[in-house]
Amino acid sequence: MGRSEEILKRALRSPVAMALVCFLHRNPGLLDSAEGLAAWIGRAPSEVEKALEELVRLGLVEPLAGARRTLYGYTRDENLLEAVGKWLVGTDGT
Amino acid sequence: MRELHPKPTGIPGLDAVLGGGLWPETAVLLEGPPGSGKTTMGMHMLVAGARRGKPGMVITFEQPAVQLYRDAAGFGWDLRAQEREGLLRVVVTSPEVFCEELLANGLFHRRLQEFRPCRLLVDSLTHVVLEGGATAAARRRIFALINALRGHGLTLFCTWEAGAGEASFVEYLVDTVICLDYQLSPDNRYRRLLSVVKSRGRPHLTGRHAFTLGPGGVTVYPAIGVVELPGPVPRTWEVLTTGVPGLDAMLGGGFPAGSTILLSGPAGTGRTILGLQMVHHVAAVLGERAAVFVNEETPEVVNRVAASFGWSLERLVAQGRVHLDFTSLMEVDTDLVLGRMARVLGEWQPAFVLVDSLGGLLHPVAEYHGVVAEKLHTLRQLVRAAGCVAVLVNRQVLGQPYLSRFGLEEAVCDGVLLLDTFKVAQRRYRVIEVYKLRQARHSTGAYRFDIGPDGIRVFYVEGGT
Repeated sequence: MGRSEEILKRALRSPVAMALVCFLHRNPGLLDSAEGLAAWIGRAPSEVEKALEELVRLGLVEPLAGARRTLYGYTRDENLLEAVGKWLVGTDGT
Repeated sequence: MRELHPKPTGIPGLDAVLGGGLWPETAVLLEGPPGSGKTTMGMHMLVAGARRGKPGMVITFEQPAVQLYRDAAGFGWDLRAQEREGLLRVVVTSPEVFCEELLANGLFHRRLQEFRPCRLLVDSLTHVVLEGGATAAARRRIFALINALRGHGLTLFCTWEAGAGEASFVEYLVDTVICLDYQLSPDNRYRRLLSVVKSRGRPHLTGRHAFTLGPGGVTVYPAIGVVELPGPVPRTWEVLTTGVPGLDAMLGGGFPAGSTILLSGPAGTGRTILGLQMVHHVAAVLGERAAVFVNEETPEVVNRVAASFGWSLERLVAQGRVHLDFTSLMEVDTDLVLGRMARVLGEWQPAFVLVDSLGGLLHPVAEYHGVVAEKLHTLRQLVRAAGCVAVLVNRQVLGQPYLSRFGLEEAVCDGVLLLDTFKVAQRRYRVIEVYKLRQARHSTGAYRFDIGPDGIRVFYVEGGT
């Protein structure tokens, strides 16, 4: 298993992180706060904040210093993007 | 001083309504109820800009990017490809984050500086406004937001939910307001309509204009009567022959240029055949163009009827000599067909137009005789302006005192051809009569005709009937 797959495996242990990764991959231009992301995926802000911490640590989410709060965007790491893409193809139930 | 020119929106028909397009760096509000096409119209203008090499950015507060990609694909727009080419960026965010980061010269300000979009769509501004309510402070905030965006030298499009509380002050802060709506027609179908209720510094067409959402996106049909009619087309003929020698003799040579002719008669008298015979004659023999607008029969049936007389309409269509426009009778929208006709007459300049049938074209407005008269006058105006000849196939109801369905077509049209049958000793005969033809010395009385393998033959004898 490659480094990217290993990171993804660790990230996807939490269902909230999984929902976040899914949403970010499908909306790669996102730039929003933890509260905003919570609304997008329909989860409690406290859960999302916790999951975001882990995703930032793993490099899947990029934190950006906003005017009043921290904002988040999706990773631009090509290897990670490829790994998530492959994982999503395997999980897409549609 | 640099001369300013309005920029095309990229939406067919919309520029005519907007008086030529939009000034650069204006703020446009696209207002309407749910499902009225606000986002699609905004996206269409961004996609069209990107196709001309002008980058666009979408700020979406409610609809995820993935949905925009999917919906856009339905109109034939590949947003992901435009993103890859650096011509489009879809940004998913929250209204409060967008405002904060823009007004504090934060991340959104920097992203706009880096990407430098020419067109920006905020979908929807209602979310931003509702954050602050309809207070004076909220108004100042929105004013600042619009100005901050304008400061980036872009054309701003904001969608706005109609009836969104008391915060309609937004209409005062923008340069242009386009209201989208739908209206239930008498046949229980929804028609999409738009109106430009504000257009700072630009003349625009007032009134409500029909529009559609279909393959390719939005198409606007400016209300005929307020749009410029097609200019006169130089013709090499004064009268257009029909291809039926006996009929031409009855007409005094043919139909005068600019005439609208009602071809009326009961069912089964050969109206469609005569119409198609003229189309074939004009396109295949005279080498002119002909346009056919059908609604009662499908193109396949029309082609088959023509082919049974040896007239290959399909070949003439392929050769660019005949334009065939089909709308199912169930889906006819009088304004849309007239709008397409205006475009065909203006751009394609046919010498001959066949409408089969006039009743089908007018049936959505049939309950309102005033509107029927208006549409008929519009059609006649179009034909006169283009200097072509139009034949309108009309069904005459047996036993009715009028020559036409509404009793006013014969008065509006420049000419009326009547087809009829009568029975003598168990044998039915066909007759044709030029009931009326302006600007022509035509015959009077009815003459016999038949329908043979080559089409219609009129047995005209000068001085006799």
